[in-house]
Amino acid sequence: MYGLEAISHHNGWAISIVGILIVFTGLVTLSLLIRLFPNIIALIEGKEQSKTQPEPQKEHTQPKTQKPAINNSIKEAVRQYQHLISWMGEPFSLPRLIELAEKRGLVRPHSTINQLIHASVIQPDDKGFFLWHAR
Amino acid sequence: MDDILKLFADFWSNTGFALADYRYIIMIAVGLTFIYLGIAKHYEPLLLVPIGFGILMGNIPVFKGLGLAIYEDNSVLHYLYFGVTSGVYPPLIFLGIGAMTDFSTMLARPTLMLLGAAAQMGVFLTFLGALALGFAPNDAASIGIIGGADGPTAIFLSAKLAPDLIGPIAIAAYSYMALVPVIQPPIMRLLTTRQERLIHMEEAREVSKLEKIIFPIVGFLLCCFLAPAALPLLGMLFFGNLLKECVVAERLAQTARTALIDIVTILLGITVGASTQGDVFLTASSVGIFILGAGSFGVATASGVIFAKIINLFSKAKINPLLGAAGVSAVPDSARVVQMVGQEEDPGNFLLMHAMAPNVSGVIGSAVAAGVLWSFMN
Repeated sequence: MYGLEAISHHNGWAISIVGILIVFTGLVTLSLLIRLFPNIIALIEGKEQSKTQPEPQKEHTQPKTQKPAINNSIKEAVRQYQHLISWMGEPFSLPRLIELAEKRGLVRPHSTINQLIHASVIQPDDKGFFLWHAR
Repeated sequence: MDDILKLFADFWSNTGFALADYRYIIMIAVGLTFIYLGIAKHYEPLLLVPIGFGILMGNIPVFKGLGLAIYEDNSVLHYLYFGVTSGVYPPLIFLGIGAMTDFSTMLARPTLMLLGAAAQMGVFLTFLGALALGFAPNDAASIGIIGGADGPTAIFLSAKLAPDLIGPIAIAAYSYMALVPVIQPPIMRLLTTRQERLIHMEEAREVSKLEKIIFPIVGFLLCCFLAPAALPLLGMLFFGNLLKECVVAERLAQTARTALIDIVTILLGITVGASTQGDVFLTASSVGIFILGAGSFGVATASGVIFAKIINLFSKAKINPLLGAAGVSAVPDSARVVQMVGQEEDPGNFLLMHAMAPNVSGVIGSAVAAGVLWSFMN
């Protein structure tokens, strides 16, 4: 049996149409879910931020170290580097942190670590090493 | 003296020279061609060199019954071939692919995933073509998956549905994957205007690390709930990707995308090549498979390009239709072809990273298509 007769006999048309529809449905659904990722993440980070509201600062207190300024992009960087810092222990060497970040495939480690230093998440201990101050 | 001559005569009758016929010679020539294409022309050398040498190994004429040939029990090649026939090797390759794939361009612009879906039309249209040529449904499904342009997927489905056709299907799939730079460009130019080829894509947004971690988990759950038969392939693909993106398991990801995938590629290539013995491979059905395979790549390319043009009818942000050709999941060759054809018109048009989005979604799409076909045939 050959040709269109063979296709009809083996239910080829139905299999092909349903198969294409299933593949399309799967990938369309996945693409719609992916579109929601940034909103979901923003929602989760918004809830986390509302839980960790800083207490109003009293006039007579003078903190020895600066409080880290956390915003959403820094939060992401903190999350990425938290594991490395836990593994390395404190105080840690900055060149070693950069080396490990590069090995782990983290994007733009120099720029990210610079951001963390500016945000006072990474602070020097005045002995040539650094401390982690993310909360 | 007679005994000595008899011994020499017996020895000669067991050599490859005495046992050879024209089919083995043809296949040895095919194997040498693959090795030449891989080494001299750099056409997919990681695939063509092992497969080419495997063809040579499989077509050394041997005396049957000594446990030497790949189809004989207790032969070394037979044991190694078990990973192909049981469907073990392809998921392990997908583990390595997942561990080396960056899905961020796809996550940045999810619409491009649909081009990967459209290219899978090549699978089902080839399936219809194989039925029309008289192949049984299981065989037709295995031949159709060649259109997915994914070697491990084609081998996996063939092992499940048509083990006798693994050799010609694998050879056809990998041959045409290597020839993607030859097959695709004429079709892409035919179906697009110069103005369309000049479309520049908008810069993709930056994708956060958390999105890249969530995606393999969500993608795996969705795709495998929809097509459970795709579990071995997609499970390993997304697992490998999670290992890569989570950072904390970098050692495992590193192993998956280097040592593991290289070992499995060697074993898969050499045994698939060795399975193409002349007396088994050179049949009319193999010729039909090769013809259908060429058609499947062409149809898949055309489907992706045409679908991109359809999207442009409804979308304000225009997609360069050349990206549709990257839905053929020959990663990353078809994405490179898109870049090349785009730059022929405008050297300043960098389409490669945008083309990776449909390219990697095509890998997911072809695995889902394989799962769907397997579940239908069962």
